Amino acid sequence: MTEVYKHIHPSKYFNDYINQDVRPDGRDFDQQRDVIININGITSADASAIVKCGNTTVVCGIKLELARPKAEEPDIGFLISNVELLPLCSSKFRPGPPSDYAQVISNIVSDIVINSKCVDLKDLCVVTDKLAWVIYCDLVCLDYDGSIVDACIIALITSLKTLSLPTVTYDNETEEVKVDTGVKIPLQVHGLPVATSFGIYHKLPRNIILADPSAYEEEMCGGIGANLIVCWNKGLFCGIQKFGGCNLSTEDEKRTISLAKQRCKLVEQVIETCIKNGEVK
Amino acid sequence: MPGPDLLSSQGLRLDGRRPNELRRIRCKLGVFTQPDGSAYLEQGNTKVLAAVYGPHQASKSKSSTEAVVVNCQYSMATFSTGERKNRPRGDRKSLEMSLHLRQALTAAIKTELYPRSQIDIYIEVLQADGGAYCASVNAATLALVDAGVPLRAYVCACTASMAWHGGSPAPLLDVGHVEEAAGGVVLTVASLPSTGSIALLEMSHRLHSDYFENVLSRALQGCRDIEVILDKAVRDHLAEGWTKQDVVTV
Repeated sequence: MTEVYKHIHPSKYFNDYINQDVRPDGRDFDQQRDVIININGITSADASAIVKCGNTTVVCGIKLELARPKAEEPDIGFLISNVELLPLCSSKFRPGPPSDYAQVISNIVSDIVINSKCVDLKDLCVVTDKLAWVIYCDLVCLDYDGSIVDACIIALITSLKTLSLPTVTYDNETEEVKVDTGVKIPLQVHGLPVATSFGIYHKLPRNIILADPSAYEEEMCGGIGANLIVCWNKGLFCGIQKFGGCNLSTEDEKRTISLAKQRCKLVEQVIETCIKNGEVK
Repeated sequence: MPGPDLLSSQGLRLDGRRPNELRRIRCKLGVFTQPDGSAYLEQGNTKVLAAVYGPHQASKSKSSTEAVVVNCQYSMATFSTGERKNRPRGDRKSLEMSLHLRQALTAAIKTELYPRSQIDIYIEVLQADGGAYCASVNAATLALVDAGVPLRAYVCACTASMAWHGGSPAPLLDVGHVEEAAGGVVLTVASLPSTGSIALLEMSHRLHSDYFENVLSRALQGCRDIEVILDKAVRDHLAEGWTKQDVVTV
């Protein structure tokens, strides 16, 4: 019966819950979903991580390749990330070329990672102007239930932290490249950017902030893409973005920033524990 | 003629299996919340996810008044193979696999029950170590069962190859990537084991017709074994009492 009501009158269904100060899945407005991380699940990838934020599931697979650096920047390597929103993960996404939304999310994730400078691209250079590593990070969303950027960033950072680069020997005269996968050096990852998504629900007299919205809540709060995304990087505030959607008051903005900071600490702990357990094995 | 090193002198294969041994299969139904039906299946190191949406309204161009339209999309993650795969979908191999999947699954679905509707089946290969098509068919069957789509029978797929052991032929069951790459013949069979019928049959390389029956029957036996495993997984899943839809009380 409730399923029927939810489909016929989604706004009223949602409003009834909000008026009682609770969300349809039983959480408080500020409560965020649990994070589950699993590393090294995909052995064909050089590093991998599977992250579940509530029901949202993202797999990150990293592949390494060697390439020639760009002429204007001869001593830096490449870090290329890409988010794929498959039709498998939600009925909202149709098969075919990447939708606008997927490209926007790809861009947001890429910006957060590049701007946080968590990987020093100079570390990826093997021989100046001749050989550099290219790190391809492919994030595949398997189940879309809101807060996709959060899950993607966690998966990406966790896999980067578990990535090791093989040693490469380059002979200058013969231009021969030898890759030794036996001896691997772990990649240096500085900092740990964590993103937190918020949905803003339009309600008189004051708009309501919902932390970590699910897919249904995102739809109610202005559609996918109208989320407020706040980034923290180990105690340093590193980014905030909001494209459209409802208005945000300045007190609420301060509150979201402090909520995101707490979340950052929690996620850091989860990632460190996961990696430590992985190494023990 | 395939290299004799596919089988060692003790009769063991390159990964230590016996010739008629399947790789370990682990599967789980109902892994995702968004699709109507979903399943995850591991066959050795090959890891495949399947999601089913439907039956739902068909787009005007594809709609058929007699039967449901089955739409399959086979996609490999870029990190699934040894070399990074640049085009995960839309290349010829993926389109061919999607078509084969559609043919195999349409044979099992009771298509006449849903005219003017469409069933979407999406397959994502997370790790490919040989037999990705077979794992996809098996995972898709489980996902269809999880979605509640009526099937005539389970569809199971299996590969078989041929090796020589001390001069006598020894058919190999369930070829892995290394054995495929070694250049031996690979026969892929998708069948409905309980009815004994074959939905899809494909063979690569050459095989002498004297040995064909042997390899085919080995593959069909593999399909029957896989059906037992899938059936057990479905029964275990239902015994847990977990269903995605609300439980109906009478």
